[in-house]
Amino acid sequence: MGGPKMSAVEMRSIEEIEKSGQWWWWAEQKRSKRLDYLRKAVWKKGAKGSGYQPGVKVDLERPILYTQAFQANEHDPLIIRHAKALAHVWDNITIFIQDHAQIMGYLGSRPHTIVWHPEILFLLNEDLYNDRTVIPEPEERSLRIIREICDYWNPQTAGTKMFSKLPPEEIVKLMTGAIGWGLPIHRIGYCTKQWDYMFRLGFEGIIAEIDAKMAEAEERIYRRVPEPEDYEYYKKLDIWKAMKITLEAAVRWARRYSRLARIIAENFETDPQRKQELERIAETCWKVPARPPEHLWESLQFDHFVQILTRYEACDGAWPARPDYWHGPFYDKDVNQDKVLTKEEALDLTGEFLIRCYEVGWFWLMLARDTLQGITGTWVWTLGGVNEDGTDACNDMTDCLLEAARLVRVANPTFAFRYHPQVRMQTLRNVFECIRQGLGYPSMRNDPILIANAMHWHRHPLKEARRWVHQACMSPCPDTKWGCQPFRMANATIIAAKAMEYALFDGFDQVLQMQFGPHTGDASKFESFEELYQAWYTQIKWMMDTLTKVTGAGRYNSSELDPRPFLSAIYERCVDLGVDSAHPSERGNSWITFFAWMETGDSLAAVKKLVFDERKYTMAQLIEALRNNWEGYEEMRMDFVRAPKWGNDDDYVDQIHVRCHNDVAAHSWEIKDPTGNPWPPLPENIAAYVTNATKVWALPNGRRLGDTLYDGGCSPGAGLDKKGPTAVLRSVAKIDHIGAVRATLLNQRLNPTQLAGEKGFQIWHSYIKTWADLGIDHVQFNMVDNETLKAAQKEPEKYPELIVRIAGYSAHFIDLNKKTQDTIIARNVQSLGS
Amino acid sequence: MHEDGEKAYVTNIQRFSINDGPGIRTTVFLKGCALQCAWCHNPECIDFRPEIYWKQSLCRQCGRCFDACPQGAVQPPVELDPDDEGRHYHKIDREKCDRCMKCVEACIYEALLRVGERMTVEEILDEVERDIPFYNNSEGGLTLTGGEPTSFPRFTLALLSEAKRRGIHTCLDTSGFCSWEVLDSLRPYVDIFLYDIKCLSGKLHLLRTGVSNSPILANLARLACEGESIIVRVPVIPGFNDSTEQMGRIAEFLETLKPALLQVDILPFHNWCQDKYRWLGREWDYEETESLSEYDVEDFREILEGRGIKTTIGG
Repeated sequence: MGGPKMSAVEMRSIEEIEKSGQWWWWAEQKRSKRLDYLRKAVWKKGAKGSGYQPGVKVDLERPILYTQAFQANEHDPLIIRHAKALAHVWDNITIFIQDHAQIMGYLGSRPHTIVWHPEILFLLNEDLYNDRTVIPEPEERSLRIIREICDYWNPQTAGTKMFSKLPPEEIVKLMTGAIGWGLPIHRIGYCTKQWDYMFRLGFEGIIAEIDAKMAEAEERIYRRVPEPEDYEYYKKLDIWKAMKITLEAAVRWARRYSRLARIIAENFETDPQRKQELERIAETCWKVPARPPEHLWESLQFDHFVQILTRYEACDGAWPARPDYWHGPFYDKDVNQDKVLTKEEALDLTGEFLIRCYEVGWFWLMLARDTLQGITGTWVWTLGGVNEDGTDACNDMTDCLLEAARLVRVANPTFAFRYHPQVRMQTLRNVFECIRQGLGYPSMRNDPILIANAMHWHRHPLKEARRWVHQACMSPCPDTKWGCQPFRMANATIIAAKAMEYALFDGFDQVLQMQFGPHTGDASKFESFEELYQAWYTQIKWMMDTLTKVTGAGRYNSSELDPRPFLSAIYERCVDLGVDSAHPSERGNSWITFFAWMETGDSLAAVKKLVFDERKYTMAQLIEALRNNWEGYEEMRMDFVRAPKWGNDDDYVDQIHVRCHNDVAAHSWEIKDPTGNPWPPLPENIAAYVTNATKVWALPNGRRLGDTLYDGGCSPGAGLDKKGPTAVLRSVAKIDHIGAVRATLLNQRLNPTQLAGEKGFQIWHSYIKTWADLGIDHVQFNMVDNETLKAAQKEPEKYPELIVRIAGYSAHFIDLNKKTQDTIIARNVQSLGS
Repeated sequence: MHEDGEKAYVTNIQRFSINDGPGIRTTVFLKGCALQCAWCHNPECIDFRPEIYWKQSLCRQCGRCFDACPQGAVQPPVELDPDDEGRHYHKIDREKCDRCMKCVEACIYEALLRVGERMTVEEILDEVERDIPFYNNSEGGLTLTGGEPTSFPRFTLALLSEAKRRGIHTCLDTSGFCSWEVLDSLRPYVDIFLYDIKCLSGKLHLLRTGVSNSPILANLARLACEGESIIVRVPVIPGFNDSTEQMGRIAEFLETLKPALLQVDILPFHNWCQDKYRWLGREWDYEETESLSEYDVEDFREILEGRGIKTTIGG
């Protein structure tokens, strides 16, 4: 038998590979043949650096079909046009079944395709027309089609319509990136899903509810003398009708997979085992999402269908999910009680479930690709946590997901683990194992703190707050009827360090060379620290105000300009009320993402110390040095670099940070979103600490224009934490993680040699217990040492699956640009011994 | 004679130490040691006075230190091969230097650094105390090391007794080279002794550490008799004590200490400290010696475990 040729590495024992920490090799040896095939057959859809992987092409079937139907139904109300367009896509797009696959549903008509939604944004459409790497063959024909589609959609994309609602000067601010990250439109969504509703009723059950609603509405407006509030029903009938069109089409689409599986099984498949699998697939896809799931393979299939369906409708940049909570009961029933599924079979299904998520991709804006570095979206799945009654929610599905993640090692989705004191030990060890094996996830979330946080900011009742999932990377959102938020708030993003820049230059943007913020005075004449502080506070309040007005207007207008019939159909709230999902009737979950936040406190502390306390420099000297981007002031700059910095448990600087946090939080209550809720800050950075480096001018923390920004939300600057991880936690604990922030991101890198063996687990466990005691809401670990990273820089081909953390999610290290890689390496490895 | 009273020179207070006693600890390094172990991996803790590090990789040869030195001990700016990393060139003539630290104050690139801060018990413990939440969750605490803490009997006594008063678990890392009276006075304030044993041969010990091992062995036996909790730490040094014979003798001796002996930590030799020697402008015999791996000391672990002694590699 001439099996595949084994390389030297492959021939080593599992134990040797484990000891050497080459976990990608380890996974390859450990996983089943099926998972190995599926993992290797997957097309990676994230953009590498700024471009897509070779061979990845844009799928033209979806835009052609969508546009055809949208044109054909011009006289229908907008929401119905969108519904019919979606139905036309689902009825006609090419479908396929991959060898060995058990979970169906694909975004695009072929395995190597990414979808393009031409109805979202004219900028995106033009990006595509000019991006020759992803145009399918024959290129000439494809370009002609793309041009036609662009010309049809550009005057009426969601973005075009939103721009028409905003004053031009606001648009300028949004386009610069200083304020706002993307546009507040519904088709770029972070949509929490309401699984209790879908799993309870199935789509047929929801359709029945819609029918009842429509009958009731018709009764009220056609058979009775309408009350004034009944006039709304004319509009609602359209919305319900559109919902129903999409739900019925979704069921038809799923059943196309059922038929295909049966055709293959009955006519082509020769392997009896695979034939059996295909028959089961046929039954499953006939049943879900039409009817409630009863087995793990059905619940996972239902879940995945819904995820793909919503992404046919629009770009969901986040993937809020709590798979152990919703699939756990099916796992328990099938594996533990009825024994109709073995553990190994469940592990295979779960591993494939992760791979199916990883392969989802769409054509996306150049600008956003840079910030997301190597992944399609920030897809953070929530694990662990508590049940509605406060008991530990960890179950065997939690463990199965953690184990599957180590076997398939995908960069997306990542996990975030809701830690609380009652987490069962076997699951905690499983979490640790993922971190130790260098996955970079799960990130740890402090459950009691975040439950209190959700109650504090958005008035969720205790039981619902306990049902929270990550709406995007960080923000907890209950997946309940009144908790589910369908809207992306990340548009509400500021580069917070710009407020410091504006305070020092009287509201003038040094990078853009134009007046941006309000006039707060000539900082070179400031005579006290307090004057500078108040100038900064005025600027940051102005940024928060400007931004949230735009986002609020976007949210409010979206249900009219940019309705999403399918997403609306899977929310109980929307079906009940007959509203589009963008209609602000849920309890709310707004936040403002603060990019580049911790530079502020470090800058203020340096000025306080060197200008106002020690009087070594004057404000005039400082402004002059900053105006020159520190050029010619190197000695002075080093003084500012050496001034006290966050992350060293030093109250001099830490208390300034605390004051900034508290003052920003106080202003959060003064501004309201369309649901009537405050706008709490959520500091984090994704990879924007690199992409924003050229957008922030020189700062008094010693930073020059172009220097990389701090990479977390409350993490110290790279290499600025000199006292190790415990001091970092002590600093971070000074922030009120319930009342001052919605959440804040902490990056910590730990050396894998410290965490080897049982002792390693015990130390990590002690660290996590203390982190929880200190009331910090988040921490994520990068377990890879510098030697590995440097080696990977030199020979990327040898480290294809090396995963590292960059704020909010993981990516493959070799996909990052050089500068990002360098920053990761520059971070302190918290090494031990002297 | 060096100072031993209200203050001591501290080279480092290292938080999140996990290899110096149980749990998460803060390790305090005192400056000054009576031994002259040839392989020492904390060369900055040998001398009892403050010293100066010079790091070539950070030095920009700006000449500020040269201008600032009143003794003419600092070399003028010079072009250097960056790959040399301080192997062949030293910024400071240590013979002429009187450690006034003027050059350190003049350096803006942190290439010149003072090693050894004079600190009080209060100042040290205020820092140590900050990690009490971590100690509580891990059964960790303070580890006092050096240098050699027993070279400062009064200061060490004050520090350990105050730590106990503040409710902090204490480990004393010692060579044991001191009078029994000193150890005896510290006993009430030490939860665990981390006790270094290097070699049983008196002659060899004297040759490579500069002192006799007889008080060390006697003190250890007596601590064990008194029922103190002890973790013995054995550095494994190539060409010195890494033979089966040497290790066998150590194991034989340690077996007699049970049950006071909680465990033995085998510490394989490493040369990661070679930069510190360069920064101090000192030659080091072991620079070219390869670091030992876990596998290299596996035999010794087996010898110890064969005698029923709990053993770790690396603490």
